Amino acid sequence: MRLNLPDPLRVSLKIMAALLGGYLLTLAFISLLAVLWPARLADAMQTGLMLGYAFYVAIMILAFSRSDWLGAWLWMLVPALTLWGLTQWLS
Amino acid sequence: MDAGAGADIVGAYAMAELKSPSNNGFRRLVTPVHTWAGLVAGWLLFAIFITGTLSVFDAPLSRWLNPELHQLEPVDTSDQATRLDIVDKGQQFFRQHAAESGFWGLGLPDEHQPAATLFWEGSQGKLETAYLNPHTGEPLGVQANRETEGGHHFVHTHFELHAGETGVWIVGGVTMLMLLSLVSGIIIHKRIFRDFFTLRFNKGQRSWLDAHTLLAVLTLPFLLMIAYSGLAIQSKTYFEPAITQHYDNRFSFFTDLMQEPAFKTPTGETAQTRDWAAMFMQAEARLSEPANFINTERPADRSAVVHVFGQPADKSDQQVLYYGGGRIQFDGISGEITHTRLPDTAMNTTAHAAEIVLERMHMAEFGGLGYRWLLFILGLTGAVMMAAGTILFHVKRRQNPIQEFGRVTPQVYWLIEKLNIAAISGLIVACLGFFWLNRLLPLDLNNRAGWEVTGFFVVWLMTLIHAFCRPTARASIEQCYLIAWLGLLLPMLNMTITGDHLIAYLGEGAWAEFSVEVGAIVTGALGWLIGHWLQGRQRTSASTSQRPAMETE
Repeated sequence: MRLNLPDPLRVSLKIMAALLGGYLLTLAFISLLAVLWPARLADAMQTGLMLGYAFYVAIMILAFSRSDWLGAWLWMLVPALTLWGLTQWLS
Repeated sequence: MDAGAGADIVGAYAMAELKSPSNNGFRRLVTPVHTWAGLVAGWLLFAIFITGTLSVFDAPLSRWLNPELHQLEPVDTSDQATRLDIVDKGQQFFRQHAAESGFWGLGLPDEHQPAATLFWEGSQGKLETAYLNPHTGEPLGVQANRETEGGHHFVHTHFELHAGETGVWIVGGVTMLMLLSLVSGIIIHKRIFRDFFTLRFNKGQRSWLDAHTLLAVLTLPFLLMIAYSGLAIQSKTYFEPAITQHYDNRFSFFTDLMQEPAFKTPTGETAQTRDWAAMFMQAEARLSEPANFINTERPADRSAVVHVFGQPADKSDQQVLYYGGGRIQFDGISGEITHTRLPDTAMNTTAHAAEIVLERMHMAEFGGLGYRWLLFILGLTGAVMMAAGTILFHVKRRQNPIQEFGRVTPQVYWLIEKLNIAAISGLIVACLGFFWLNRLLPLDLNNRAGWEVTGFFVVWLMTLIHAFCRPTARASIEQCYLIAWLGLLLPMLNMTITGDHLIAYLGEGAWAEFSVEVGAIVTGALGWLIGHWLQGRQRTSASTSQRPAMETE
């Protein structure tokens, strides 16, 4: 689906997908890592907190590699929900 | 240099950039991200960088900003009896003035601070501070201790814009945009090595682009380190929603991480915290090192907890990045030791050690003066890189408008130019203004430290209003000259008010104060040179006026 939006608005929506959507995905990633990382819960959590920003940036660049903002949002939210669900199921 | 040829090259470059079928889709998609994320974040990041750079030297700045405090005769804290005496005097002050408070804290005097620092939770959770004369136990009055934020003003602007948790989030957001701009900037510049050796002067847009790229490539490792470490040390705030998936809150996570007893909750049962001096002495024996800090949570409640902190500061000048201070925890009512953390055992896990190392690198808590100067120079270079980037934005569009906002494009560009001026020269004016306010506000003014900070933001706002009221080119020239006057005259102001001056500082070996004034003079001189240069350029462009007027009026 391609909506004909003005350039700055499309860029803003994509930045939002990267910043906000990417943030939610990063939170889901850290929560899951806390369960999966082979260490005590607190140490695994801290590992996630330290690695989180590298993950976040990589995810943001991925979001921008989508040419459409809607795709960028889907790329963020679908994995975020999956990781979140997995965390709930594991813990 | 033939101006016509320069314009031709710029035009050809702009055309090539517009067509450029060779660019793959990915780079083309990332370019606007770099432009806009960089521009929007750039305004605040410039302020965060300049204040952060000043924060590297917050102790020397505090010395200059509070000359009365350093009249106090220093006390030798290497003797345990002296330390215990000061701790005892501090507790007596608290018992008299803050008996019902939820928190007491006392830091012993050190080489930066000749008085004992006391802080406690006042009414409505407000943090109160007092400075105690370590010889008499009396709090210092406004004549003996200028009520000022000191160098901390720059630290607090740097990480929270003086806006508490909201500020921390804003700073985090723009830092994330910075990290994004860096990574997207690297992607855009695949010829990173060639760009590194390229600097073309007097080529308008190309020169700004070259300066921006060169400075960014030069400082890239620093920029990545400072952005990443800045975010990492605030992880518990930014990623709190991830923490609360597994813990009640970030505090219970922290106690679990440090393997310490859980935080206590108030019982509502009143009790008296025991004498600090006895616990302080016991803690020093257990730590086998002098301590320099003691605090108490809920001092008037049955759940009172006392912490005594060892002194890791003596290692901060060494080439040691990996060290930890010791800490002893007491039950405040019974006086029993409830937890012991011996020195250098704080970082028992890799992940937590990573945070400590990043924090020390960010806050220049190792490597001594050499590392501080390195961070200072790199911080300034980074700030100039960002300023060049935001200037590049409108130089580029002035020469080759790409009507990206349709009919309102000129208005949007106009607004961006005004914001650029306030964000760059306006911020420098506000920083110098803070030093002026520190000397000019009356000593007995109520909430004086608060007025200094308010004044800083008012001056900053006034530079924005000034930018709106004046033609763009004039506004930046005028603000540069204002920087020149504020910087060059600061030593005169200081001499008039306190009687201190450069030569006296030199004679006393007061290097901190001396360097602050030299810094102000250098800033003023740079402001004058840049103002003069801008004025010269404006005259040439007005007299030759082959191109349409630069002004958008």
